[in-house]
Amino acid sequence: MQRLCVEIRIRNRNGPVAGTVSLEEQSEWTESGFMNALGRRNFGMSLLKKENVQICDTADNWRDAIRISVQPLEQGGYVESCYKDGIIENIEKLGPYIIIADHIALPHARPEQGAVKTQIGITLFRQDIKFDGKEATARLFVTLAAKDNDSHLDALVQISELLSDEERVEKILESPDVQTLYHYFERI
Amino acid sequence: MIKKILCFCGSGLGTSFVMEMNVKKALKNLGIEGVTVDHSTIDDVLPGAADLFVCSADLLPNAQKAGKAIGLNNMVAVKEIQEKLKAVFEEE
Repeated sequence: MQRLCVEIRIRNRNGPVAGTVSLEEQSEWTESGFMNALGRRNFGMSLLKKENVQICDTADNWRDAIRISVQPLEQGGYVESCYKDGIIENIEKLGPYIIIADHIALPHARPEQGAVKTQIGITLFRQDIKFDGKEATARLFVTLAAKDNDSHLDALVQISELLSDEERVEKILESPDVQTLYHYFERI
Repeated sequence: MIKKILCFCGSGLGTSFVMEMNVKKALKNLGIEGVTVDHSTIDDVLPGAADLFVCSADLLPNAQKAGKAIGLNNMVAVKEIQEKLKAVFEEE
């Protein structure tokens, strides 16, 4: 059987070639396989899906906020229903280490606690969510599902870069709608 | 001498990785070379596992049981990490 070898070049908008992916590398050409190959190489293709971005007014408490922030990932089949409980248990045991900066939480648990596919979800609360025993509160929840120890690292590098600028974080927190919020993260 | 830094969080794959990235950036900014930086879970935080542990402020008491440690409030901005690392390395 003759093998077809095609190289696809991915260009940034009006920019130079951002990278290439060879079709030969993928044994099975499903859409998800292709997107994974692209995503892995960090070609600026989005891991984040718009349906996993949401804006909510508030939550009853931090546990409720975690459940809300995991909901889109659960609905999409990226995590099992036990995943949110895993995150809550980790926090109950160790404290809110998921607050990575003032206003920003990164809820996540171990792959074996119910992550099925690597994906992120963004939830912006209009009101501050308070965690037990911590002064800092969170409004922006970047919920992470990682199916293994490394498939999510490219995305985390970009998230960290994006959120390292405090002025930008202020703007993100004031996003008037989901489209605007998604726009900040769409390259992740 | 600090030759090995271990960043850790509860799960060892989110917060700890973000810290590792920014510790590396801070060391570069400070011109400090020859230090290995890794990330892991709290289960690996044992005496002798590293010369310096870096974690979120909440987990600092756990880290101090194992050795010298820095607790962070902001893990995405290099500024706080850099200031705290500078202080530790100047003490050495």
